Amino acid sequence: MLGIFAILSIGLLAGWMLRRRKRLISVCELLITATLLCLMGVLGAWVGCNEEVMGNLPELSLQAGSICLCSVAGSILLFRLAGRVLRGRPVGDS
Amino acid sequence: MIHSLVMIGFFLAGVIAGHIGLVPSRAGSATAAMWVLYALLLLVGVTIGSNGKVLSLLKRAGAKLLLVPASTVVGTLIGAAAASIFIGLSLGESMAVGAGFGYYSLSSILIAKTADDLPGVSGSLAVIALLSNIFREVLTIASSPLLAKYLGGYAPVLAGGATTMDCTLPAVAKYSGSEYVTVALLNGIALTFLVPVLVPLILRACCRGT
Repeated sequence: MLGIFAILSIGLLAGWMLRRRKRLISVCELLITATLLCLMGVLGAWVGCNEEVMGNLPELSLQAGSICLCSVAGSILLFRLAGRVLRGRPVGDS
Repeated sequence: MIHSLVMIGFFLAGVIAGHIGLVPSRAGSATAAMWVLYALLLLVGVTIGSNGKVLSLLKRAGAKLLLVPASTVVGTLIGAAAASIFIGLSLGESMAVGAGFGYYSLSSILIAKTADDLPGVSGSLAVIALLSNIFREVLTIASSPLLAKYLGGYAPVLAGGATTMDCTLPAVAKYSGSEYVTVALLNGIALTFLVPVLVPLILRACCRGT
């Protein structure tokens, strides 16, 4: 966990120092897409190499879908319950 | 939507390649994924740090603005806890999956790493986290028009979780309106920083000794 924060912090600092070099930042954005695609491939291979996981994929997908739906529903319901104070106009804009 | 489909395409290509033995087992390991993730986090940090608007956004963030990420966190954890009742996972496992808030790459690898230290945790939990958080991103993009129309402009932001600062931001801007972009960015940034804290914390707190 500390390693992740350290890497994020180094990135934030580097980004702040390089904020005027727009070309370099746009290269970084392209690299994010490429890295993300690479990561999806690696994660897929990780799943594909695991016979136990492959055998239970339909059941795992059902469990994943249930958590996803309940999480989204929980977020929206809670916000609607707590959000009466926000009624009127969207926040965060002047 | 195309972005998500391309991501899923790469994931499926990886699954097939791994399954038929086209990739060496070391390439399809959690360690390999962790190194790619480190590179991704560094690049994400650079793009956030280079965005001058982020700092001014955080300075302007009032209590009302923070209600959105707070509701996303608490509502997601309550929802995931409720799901655990009927899907055969423990409360902690289900909440740890939910605490990915759509950040599938980071949450699944964090769970894989943490699960190595906790023998009671299901070995398939990282895969469930990966799938569940991919589903959340795809669901947000696909359902944003309906969510915004029937449940208000905040609903796509709440559904998107950590992805509202990048992948689902265009959907929020299009269907909720450009006035929701600020809160979407703040929500995404806050949740991105919470994922590496909450996922291991919940897993260790709830699953130790099970």
